[in-house]
Amino acid sequence: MMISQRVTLIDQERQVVATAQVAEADGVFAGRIDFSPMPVLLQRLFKEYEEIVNTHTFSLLDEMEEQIETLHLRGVFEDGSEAALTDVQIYPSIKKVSFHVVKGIVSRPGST
Amino acid sequence: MPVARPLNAYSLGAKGTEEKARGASKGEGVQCFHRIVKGRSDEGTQVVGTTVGNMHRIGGSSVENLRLKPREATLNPPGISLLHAPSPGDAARQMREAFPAADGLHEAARTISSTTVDKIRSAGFDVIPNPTRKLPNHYRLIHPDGVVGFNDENLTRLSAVFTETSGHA
Repeated sequence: MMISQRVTLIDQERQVVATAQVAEADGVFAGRIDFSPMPVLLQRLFKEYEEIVNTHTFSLLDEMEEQIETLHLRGVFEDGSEAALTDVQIYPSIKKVSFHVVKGIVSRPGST
Repeated sequence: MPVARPLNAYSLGAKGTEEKARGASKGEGVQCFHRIVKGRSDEGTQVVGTTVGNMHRIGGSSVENLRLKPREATLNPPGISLLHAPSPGDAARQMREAFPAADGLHEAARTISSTTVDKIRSAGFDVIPNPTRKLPNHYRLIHPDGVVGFNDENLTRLSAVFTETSGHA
């Protein structure tokens, strides 16, 4: 049984850009996202990403993914642990998200 | 529930099935020929004895689905995306795994159109490898005349060399 957990997505300045309720399966976290705190420019980026995926315009995929990687988004989980995220996919029109956690880059509350 | 096209006795690419893969020459790779013993219900269907090829387009084989999107028209060379995979079911599965939250894509990938490189060339188009980080088996279908080559007349010819399978849930 997959356990759903709340995660807060933050940017490099530690500003909250979204909150999500996700479950993990085979290393992939996926679920619903509330991106209302997200800056408009970021929303546009993910709308463009969604369009590329939904129209199967995969020749443009690398370019879009590189732009998303430069955001260096991190996830703060409800147990207080924090991790770098990779392969962050947000689909604004359906309010869905998926991402991977970068292994070995997880910090726990109270850790130095 | 898979759509039987036109018979439902045989299916493509289903796990837990008896499968035969026939190699083809001239860069065709493997053309899949699958006879189903115990088919899974989430795979597409195909008539026994036919081949659908190993180059796959998400969605149907309609001219509309083969038309250049505005941003694809700006590529050098202009072209549309294809996936190289042993079967249409494999291509659909790859979409679900690579884009786990993309419901719209998953829905589109229930139908896959498949063909071979030789058939694409016989229709006057060509294929070039265009791997991406996430999709190393990604190819681009192009036309020697660029954007103008993707006209309705040529796309109708191209559409005819694709075989649709559906039910790839």
